[in-house]
Parts: sequence; structure tokens; C-alpha cells
Amino acid sequence: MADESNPVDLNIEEITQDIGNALSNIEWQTWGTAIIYVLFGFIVASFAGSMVARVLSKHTSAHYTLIVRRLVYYSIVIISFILALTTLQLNMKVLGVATVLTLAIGFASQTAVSNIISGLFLVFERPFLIGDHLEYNGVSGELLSIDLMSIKLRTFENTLVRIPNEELLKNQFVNLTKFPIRRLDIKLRISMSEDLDKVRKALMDIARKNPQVLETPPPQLQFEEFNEAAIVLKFVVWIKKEAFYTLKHTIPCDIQQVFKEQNFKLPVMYYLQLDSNSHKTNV
Amino acid sequence: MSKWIKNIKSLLGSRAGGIKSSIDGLQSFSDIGITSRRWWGTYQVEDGQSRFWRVGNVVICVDRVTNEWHIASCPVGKITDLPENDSDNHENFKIPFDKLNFKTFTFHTQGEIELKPVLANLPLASKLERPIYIPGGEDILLYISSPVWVRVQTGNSKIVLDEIPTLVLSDTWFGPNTREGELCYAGHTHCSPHLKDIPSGPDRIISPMLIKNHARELLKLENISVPLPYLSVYSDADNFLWTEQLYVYREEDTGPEVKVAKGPPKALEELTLLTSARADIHTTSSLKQFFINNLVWE
Repeated sequence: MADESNPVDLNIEEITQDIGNALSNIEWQTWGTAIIYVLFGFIVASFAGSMVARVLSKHTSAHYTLIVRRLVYYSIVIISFILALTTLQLNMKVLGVATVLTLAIGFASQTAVSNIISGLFLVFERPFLIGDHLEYNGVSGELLSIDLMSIKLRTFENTLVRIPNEELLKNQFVNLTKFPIRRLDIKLRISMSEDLDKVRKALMDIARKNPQVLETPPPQLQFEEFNEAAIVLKFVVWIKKEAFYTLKHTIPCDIQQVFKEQNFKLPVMYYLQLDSNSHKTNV
Repeated sequence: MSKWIKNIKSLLGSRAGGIKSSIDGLQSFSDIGITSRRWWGTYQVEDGQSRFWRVGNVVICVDRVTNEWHIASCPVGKITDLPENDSDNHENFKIPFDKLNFKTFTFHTQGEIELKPVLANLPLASKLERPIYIPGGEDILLYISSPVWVRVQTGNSKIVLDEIPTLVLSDTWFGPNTREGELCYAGHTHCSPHLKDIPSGPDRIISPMLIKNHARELLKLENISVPLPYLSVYSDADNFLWTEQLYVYREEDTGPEVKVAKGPPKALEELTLLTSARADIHTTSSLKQFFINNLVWE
């Protein structure tokens, strides 16, 4: 009954026989032509993609260049496949079945499809561009490419990390270089007895003498907390993103040097060690 | 309100000695009796010869050994016993390249090197000593002084070898917030309505900027960003360096309209184009956008 009510009555044996007949009726010269179309399509697609990328790279960002390159590549490949199928003169029924089978395979491989769709969302939402620095799940690095299924990061240790597109769409990641300037926070623990005005002046001098520290927004010394032995402060400076990692290491060195020169006292923690056997206390 | 505006007008009048109403009021350095000297041009450097040029507080040194060229720069005080005159051929004087950070180039097709003044590769954000209020219908002519960069290039083929800033300026951010705006160089007190009050000399490039307030409200002028990459460099008869004139108009209900005059300031005489702008202004809208974001904000 179910078969009678189904308008799309697919008899697998009949279809398989049809496909077999259709394919066996094609002459080997026609097969050759179709294969040549496909191979030629791949070569042309690759060449056209490279040419487009070469031209666009002079006028637009790496991100857009990559997107257009992919579009050109896949368009030409699809056209070459259509040409090949037209050459084979497969009838619509066979093509329809092939499409259904393709979809069936697609649904069977849901993860792959999900990654592809996620990749499309990421490309059009543009939360990052090629060359940006991303941080995801404890891994950070430079974005090398946004591919069909995943993105590729080159970490600062020069290793390659592949992150599936679906993961990025579902979870939180950080784009470290979205904006042209970044804030560098340096936490400092200063002795309670230290003159904070002197500390502030010394830190501001460090910022003023370094031409890579931005004048606006101005550097700040922020109070964080009093703890057991120290005043915890946060020295905040703004830096252009390109200089961030360099200054992240050089400014603490400058601070250490100035603190040494000006004899600023750093807090010292005293620990009591109780020795229960000897009943002596070491400080 | 009108009394208040009147007071500010009189205050501005006393501060600026009468604000110039048009570009015709542009001063030249000969008017105020300041002189400069020329350092740019094409120079022959013989095999085994060292040459140097003082530009402001920087010395630019070039040394040639056969096809190998060394180019270095340092503060003037770093090289002791530097001869008085740059242009003389000092046969016995050798630049102590071992003490300098130098770059090595190799070319054998020519023995000439050219020095040219260029503007910085980022806009210059200048902060006035005190804010200036421009009442509706008034205008102000400001002079903005930018430190020159020295472009060193080959004499014939004009291949750029190096660009040396004569003053290293701090970076700064110019914009309404940390998301919108532009990276600039910070130029303190390099901006004034009086030519004599701004730093001048062979290592400085002056940009005249006429700001007109056509709106009824007061315009508070506190910070100014000059789009140096869009400007060319000209020299006058007294060897001072100038850029094109900048016009900024604030209309009633719109943001500032900005125009860069074509060619050198017409009020000045015998100006020669030395260096073209680094970037072209393709559309006026791009410059307008730049100024709306960056030129005048409180």
C-alpha cells in the first residue's frame, strides 16, 4: 500500500539496471572526452584561481582574495563536471538518481556538511580575517586559511593547528587583532611602605620614553587590591597591535630596571615553618 | 550668550593678534626673519669616500667602498669631531661606521645618491596648548609643523634605499573611541596660529590649515590630525618646506568638509615641488570620512 501511495516510486534494481545500461552504452571516446573536460576543468580552475588571487592581492585583503579565489575555483570545477555529464548524455533519470545518492551520502556524513555550512557562516559573518591572531581553547596563532571544513592556525611555536569550522561556530574564540590597538595590563606588587606617587611617576616616565606606547589613550596606574604584604597595582598601556608582543616583554624589563635603579622595595612574604618535633619556629 | 561669544571673540583676537580671514593672510618665514638651509639634492659619492649631512638633530652618513654602500643615521652628538660644513669634501675625515647601526646596499650602476624631504607615513595628531573656540561665522588659520623624514634614494634610477625620521615621535590614537579612529604620530605644541611659535627650520615641514566655522555653535578646537600621507612637499625661495593648504569648513548641520588645495599655497612665492604625496586622494569622500572621524573632536 505504501508503495502505491508513494509518488516517487524508486525501484532500486530497475534504477541500477538503467544506470548500468546508460553507462555501458557510452563509447570509450566519449568517456575520454568527459575525463579530459574534468581534468582540463581542474587545471583551468587552478590557473584562474591563481591569476585572480595575484590580481586581487594588490587591491584587496588576503581574506577577500581567498574567498574570490575559492569561488572561481569551485565554479570552474562545477562547470567542467556539467560539461562532462552533458558529453556523456546521461538521461535526467540517471542524473536525478545520482543527485539523490549524493544527498544521501551528504546526510550520512553530517559532520562534513555541518563543517561546510559553518565555514560559509564564518566567511560571511567575518569575525576574523586571514592574518588575524586567534585564541581558541588555549591555542593561539595566526590564521592561515579558512578552508571548506576547517581553519588553519600557525601557532607562535610554528606548529599548525586545524580547528573544524563547526567548533568555531558553536564555541567562543578570541580575535586578538580585530582592532588596530590593544591594551597591555601589567600587574605589579609594591611594598606597603613604598611611595605610590614615586612609583606612578617612574612608570609614566617609562611609558613616555617608549615611542611605541600610545600617548592617547593615556597610560594608567590602577589600584587592584591590598593583600597580606603588598599593594597590587595594574599598569595599563595601549599599544598598536603589531608591537604588542614585543612590548609585552620589553616593558616589564624596563620596569624591573627602573625599580632597581630607584630602589623600590618589592613586598617580601614571610612564611612560618612550625616544626612539631623540636618545638622550634623558623621564620 | 551673545555677550559670551563676544568675549571669546575678543579673547581670540588678543591671542591670535587678529585671526586671518582668508588664505591671503598666510605668512612666510621671510616676513618674520627666520632663515633655513638646503640639504636636499643629488650628491656624488666617490669610491672610498664618506659623506654626511646634518638635518635637524640627525646626521645622515653615507660611505662607499667600490660597489658597497653603507647608510647610517644617528643623533648629531654621537659622532665627535664632525666637521662644521656638511658640503665640504673632507678627505681625512672618516665616519666611524663601526659605532653606528648601518645598512649595506650594493649597486654598481651609479655613483650618485639623492636626499629628499618626505612627510611621515602616518597622520600627525597635534594637540593645542589650550583649546581654541571658534564662534559661528569665524575662522582661524593654523600652522602645523611636522618633522621631516629624509628619503635616501639612488641618483639615476630613484630606487628608495631608506627613509630616516629626523625626530622619532610617539604613536598615538586619534578618534572618538578605541574602535574608531586612526593610528597617528603625536606632535606636541606643533600647532599654532602664529608661524613664529611653531618649530621651524630645515628639518620641519609646515602645513597651513584654514578652519572656517559656518555653523551657529561654537567650534572647540583641541586636537587636530593632519593627513600627512596625502600631502606633497614644496620648498620656498628661503629653503623652508611647505605642504598644500588644507581647508576645513564646518557647515550648519553637517560634519566638517575638507579640501586639500591643488598645488602649493598661492600666497607664497617661488615654491618648487620636491616630493609628491605618498597616497592619492582618490575620492573626496575618503578624506572627508577621515576628517569627520579624526580632525575635530572634543
